[in-house]
Amino acid sequence: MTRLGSLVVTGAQWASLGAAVLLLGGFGLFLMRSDLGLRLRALADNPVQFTLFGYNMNHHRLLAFGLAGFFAAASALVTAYDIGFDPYAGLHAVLLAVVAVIIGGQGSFVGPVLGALLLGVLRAQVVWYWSARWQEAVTFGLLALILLLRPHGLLGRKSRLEATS
Amino acid sequence: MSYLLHLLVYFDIYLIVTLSLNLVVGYCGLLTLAHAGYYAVGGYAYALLSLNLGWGFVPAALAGAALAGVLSLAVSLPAWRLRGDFFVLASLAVQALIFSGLYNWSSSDAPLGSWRNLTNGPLGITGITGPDLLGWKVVSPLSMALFATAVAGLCAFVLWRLQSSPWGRLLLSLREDELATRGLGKNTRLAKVQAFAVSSAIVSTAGALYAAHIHYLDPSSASLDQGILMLSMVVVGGLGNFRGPLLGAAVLIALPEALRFLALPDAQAANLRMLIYGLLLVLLMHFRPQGIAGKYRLQ
Repeated sequence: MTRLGSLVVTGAQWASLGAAVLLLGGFGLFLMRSDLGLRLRALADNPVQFTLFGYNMNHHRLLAFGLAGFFAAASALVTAYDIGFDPYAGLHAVLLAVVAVIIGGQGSFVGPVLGALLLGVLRAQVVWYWSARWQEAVTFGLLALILLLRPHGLLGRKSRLEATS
Repeated sequence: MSYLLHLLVYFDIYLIVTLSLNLVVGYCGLLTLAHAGYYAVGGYAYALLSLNLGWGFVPAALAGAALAGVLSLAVSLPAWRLRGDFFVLASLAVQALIFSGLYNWSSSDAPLGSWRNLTNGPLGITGITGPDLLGWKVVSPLSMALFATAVAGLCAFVLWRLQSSPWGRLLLSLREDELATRGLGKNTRLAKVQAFAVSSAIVSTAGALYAAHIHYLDPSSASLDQGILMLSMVVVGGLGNFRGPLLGAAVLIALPEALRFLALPDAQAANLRMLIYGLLLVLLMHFRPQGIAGKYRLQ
């Protein structure tokens, strides 16, 4: 446990911060610089075109799901080290992640990170200034607002919703 | 015997739920998670009106239906613009907001049903009166089963007439190609609002029936788990026709009950049941993705 002025940060929190920076940095580098990352982004952009260029769509989908599982497990490990875990915690975590992705913007790498930070700070502020029982209402109210006013998120590319669904 | 009658009442309740959900998911092609919210709104409206104002089942259920119909604008207005995943998320947001509303609209120093303590929060409402019809108090399990079957039959009749009407065909064409339907001069936005209003009003009746049957209601009837259960009933049974939701409700109610009779070791029985239940659902969706009796497959 360390103190930075009036801020108290526990060892587990340092560990989760370090893990997040390391994993996200590595993932961003992998997506933006490596050949495989380029192929995964191409698959997200246009699966039909991707297949026409001779790549196996299913293999890359499997790989994407594997990577997603790897990162989810990493965050679960960090959570379990900090506050513990139970079999029902997964759904809630995924819902929050979905809200963060929508706030930040789909198809952007920095967007969801920004969305997650924003959501975390906002949820903490709700507890601080108001009450913990309104956390969910504020979270999903924000989701509704973003969907209504800015459905492509803060940093996502603007596109017609009909085309993406 | 009363166990079977209780199961029959459950089946009636979920029959109303699945048939009304099918109107939105199967006929409009809009996957909604907010249905459980409207189900709970109907239950709470019945519980509060009957406990505090002494209203009978029919007027209280009708008032609940009107309230749910108006509140359904919260999902049908986003459905004007949003489709696919985005609409599912919007309906999730509506479900979460309804749930938080029911969960938090309470304060410990005000009496139940007053403006400051409308829902009694996580403690729920106890001692809800059973249903009554024209002075007839429904008390015994048999008469409750008959009453629930009659209500479910009425709701099913209304939905059947609506779905085989020109308006039902309008919803089908909206599902297949909304742009083309608008090109033919149909008001698809109005049709969506109507479909959601009808569907929410009918599912709120199921909520009132549930509250009157169990005599207890808490916010978990508006939870996401409940919404997912309703959705999986419709998807397992099959979308877009009348047999599918009926079969889905029957299968998903009978399956966990049938698993009770397997001789499982007591300590792990509950978890094993959930495991078998989940496995069967996964297998069913893998081998028959359009549901048991489905005509239409969600993209």
